[in-house]
Amino acid sequence: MNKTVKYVIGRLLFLIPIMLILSFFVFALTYLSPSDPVMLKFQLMGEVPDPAVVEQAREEMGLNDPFLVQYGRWLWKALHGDLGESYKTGVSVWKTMLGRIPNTLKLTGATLLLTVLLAVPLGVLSAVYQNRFVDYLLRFISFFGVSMPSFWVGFLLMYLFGIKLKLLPVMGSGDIRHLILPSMTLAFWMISLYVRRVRGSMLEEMNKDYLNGGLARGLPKRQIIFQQILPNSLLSVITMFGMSIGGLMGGATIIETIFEWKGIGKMAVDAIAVKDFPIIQGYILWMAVIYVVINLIVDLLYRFLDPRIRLEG
Amino acid sequence: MARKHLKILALVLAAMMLLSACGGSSGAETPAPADSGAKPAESSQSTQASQPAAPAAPAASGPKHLNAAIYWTAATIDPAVDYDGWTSCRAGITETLVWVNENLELKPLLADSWEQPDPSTWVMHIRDGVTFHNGNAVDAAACKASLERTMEINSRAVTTAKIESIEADGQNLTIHTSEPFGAFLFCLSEPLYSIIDVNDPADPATNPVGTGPFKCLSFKAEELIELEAYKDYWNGASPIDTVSLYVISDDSTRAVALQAGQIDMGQRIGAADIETLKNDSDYAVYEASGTRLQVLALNHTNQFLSDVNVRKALACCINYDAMVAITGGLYAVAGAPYPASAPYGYDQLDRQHYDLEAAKKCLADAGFADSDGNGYLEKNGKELAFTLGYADKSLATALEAVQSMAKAVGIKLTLQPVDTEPDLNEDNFEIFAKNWQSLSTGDPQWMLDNMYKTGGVSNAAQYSNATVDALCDELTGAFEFADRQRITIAAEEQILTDCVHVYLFSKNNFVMANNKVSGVTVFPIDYYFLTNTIDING
Repeated sequence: MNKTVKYVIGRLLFLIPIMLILSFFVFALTYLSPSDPVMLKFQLMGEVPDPAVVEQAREEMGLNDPFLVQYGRWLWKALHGDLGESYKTGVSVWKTMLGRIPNTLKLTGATLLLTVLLAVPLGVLSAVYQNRFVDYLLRFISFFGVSMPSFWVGFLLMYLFGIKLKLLPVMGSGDIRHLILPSMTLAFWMISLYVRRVRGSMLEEMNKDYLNGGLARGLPKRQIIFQQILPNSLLSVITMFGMSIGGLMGGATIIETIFEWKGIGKMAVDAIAVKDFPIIQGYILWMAVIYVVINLIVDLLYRFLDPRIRLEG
Repeated sequence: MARKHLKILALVLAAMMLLSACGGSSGAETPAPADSGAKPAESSQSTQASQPAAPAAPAASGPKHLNAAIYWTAATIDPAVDYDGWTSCRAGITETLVWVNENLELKPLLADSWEQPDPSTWVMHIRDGVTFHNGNAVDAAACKASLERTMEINSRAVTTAKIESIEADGQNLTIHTSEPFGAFLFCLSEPLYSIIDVNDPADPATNPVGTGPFKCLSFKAEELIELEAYKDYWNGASPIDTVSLYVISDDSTRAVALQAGQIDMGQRIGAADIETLKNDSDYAVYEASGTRLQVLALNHTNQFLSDVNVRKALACCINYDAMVAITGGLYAVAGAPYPASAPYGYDQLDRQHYDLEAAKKCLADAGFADSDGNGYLEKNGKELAFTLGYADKSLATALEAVQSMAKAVGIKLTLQPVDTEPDLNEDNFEIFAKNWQSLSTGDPQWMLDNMYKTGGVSNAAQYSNATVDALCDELTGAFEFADRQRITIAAEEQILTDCVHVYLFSKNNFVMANNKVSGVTVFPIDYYFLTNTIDING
């Protein structure tokens, strides 16, 4: 069997204990919470139940059983794709999440697209023109970008493009016009971050001997930069990029909230506000899967892109 | 090698974009609201209260579309489920047999008259000529079927109006209550009792077939309700042709959406935006004193709070006007068990008010003194100190002010924020900041029975007064409004004499709109929003 396939299988098998441990903590979250799930459920449904109804509901929900029995039952259901129902809406957690994930993926995609299209060229430009005006300008803007809270950038963009210019919608998750402001808000921070990162990596590579070697052999500097230095410098950016994708796929909670973007982040915020534990549990499991899978993809990418790791492995 | 790396990178990124795009395509689309375009022609910054259900204005030449926003929907808009009928009512899809107007007066709606042959029987005449959105006529049998379905689904429907049985005969609907119940008609105004055509094949969860001025075209929970004016509406069709009713939960975003022209009107405003919109001539802010009260619930089983002097000192040390100023215009001064908007003697009552000297005298009369000179009073070696719990974090600043005001008379309050509001009982609180719907369904009885009557289910304070108990019983059997008003005011007087709780402020209800919108009414009870009088020009 191919080494890489073995590696992937190994990593996927490693997922099982990770998810089991995580599921235990996720379930314990509900169990240890001082709130009574039955009372929460009735409160969220707007009901004021009498004690007999509460006791009956506790029995039906199995809340009188020992912790491990409750966990085992929950895990068995979760393994069969049943994460329960939202206390607030009564809709299944899966259905709720599947309704939200597409919107989050759209926002993630648009943000990544903007980030890649702008951060990489600007980072290269900043490195190539190190300590020149363009470099200073880009460093100042990126410093400004990483320092500004995203929600503030969001409100500024709303004010400019929504209220003043009336060019773009400020809320909702409809057509592509609705995507522009939230993705710009998220991308502004990410671009600022990655311009600095790409610049740093580029400069590190440009200080290595192979640049001089290439120049000595008469290769054009542009060719060395784009064909040797850039790909090598992007290797170190990949891990960071993976984490950023994970963060975006988990939903940009604040941005989704202020732009009324019906993604998974807003779903989580709404659920946390009312302690809708089944939804919170589903969200945490989603986040865990996302990070584990993204880490796996990043590691695989490293194996493809860096022969040293492949040979060691 | 480097070129190969680049290709791989490009492929990975492209795959991510593709994944994202595919994901996006499967999501339900929310149509983009039409941009409102031109600015309103003139300023109208008023608290207009037009006559709802008045004949609509003649239609303009082109189709008219309104973009509006509410702040909440549940998973369905089936009026029989939980409180979901509040949304169908706000959207103008469903109507009840009777309703409560902007002056909190009970008015006929689908039932145009009623009589009471005996104390437990109501014969209501269903208005002639009313049709459901599918064209079917509304008769007593349709109303009976709708109400019975609601009672089958929602236990609250049985207990709230105490309905025992229903009979239908032509346009006459006879309802028997389990006991003589004076609040019965008011209870029927709750959106829970909305009348829908239960025989229509449409799923009431997403398309309740009601009788209101707008019929539902589509519903997406927590996102959007698309509506179309019902041209055969019995009380005059809306001059608007279609409505997109967005759900925008964040107050700031709703206000920005109005300013950006994405919506034309919206329900509820955040404190930060009230002044901004009031000072901008392009927008109008419609305001009504609401029926929700912010109360400091006092536990009468507490060793100090059992003393009426201590309770009065707490009520007198609070500067109510200053408190309202702190909340940024979201509230109005209360000082009584029912708000100023309610027709229950607000102006004639000796309401709780700021009187520092009276507060100090009450505490002195109760035997408290600052024996150790630390600024807080003591009695029998015990400090006059309470824990003030609260769940609504937006009240933190106001409650810090209360803490400071209490300190001025020697009462020590320790603020205790909690995640979720507990089900209060005599053992789990001393003072708790509670939000009460004082006039659920527009009638005072529910609150009197539950909060003040001895043994009331929500009487966590353990308040008990024979006069109030007798008045509650008398109210149950009182059917004339004047009688109900008199009894309620008498109960309020006793409650204020006993200073049962501290009534801080009542929450104002707001509707904001741009100047193209007219015919807006804002109601003290916020389950009405879209009406047939609303029009949009330009």
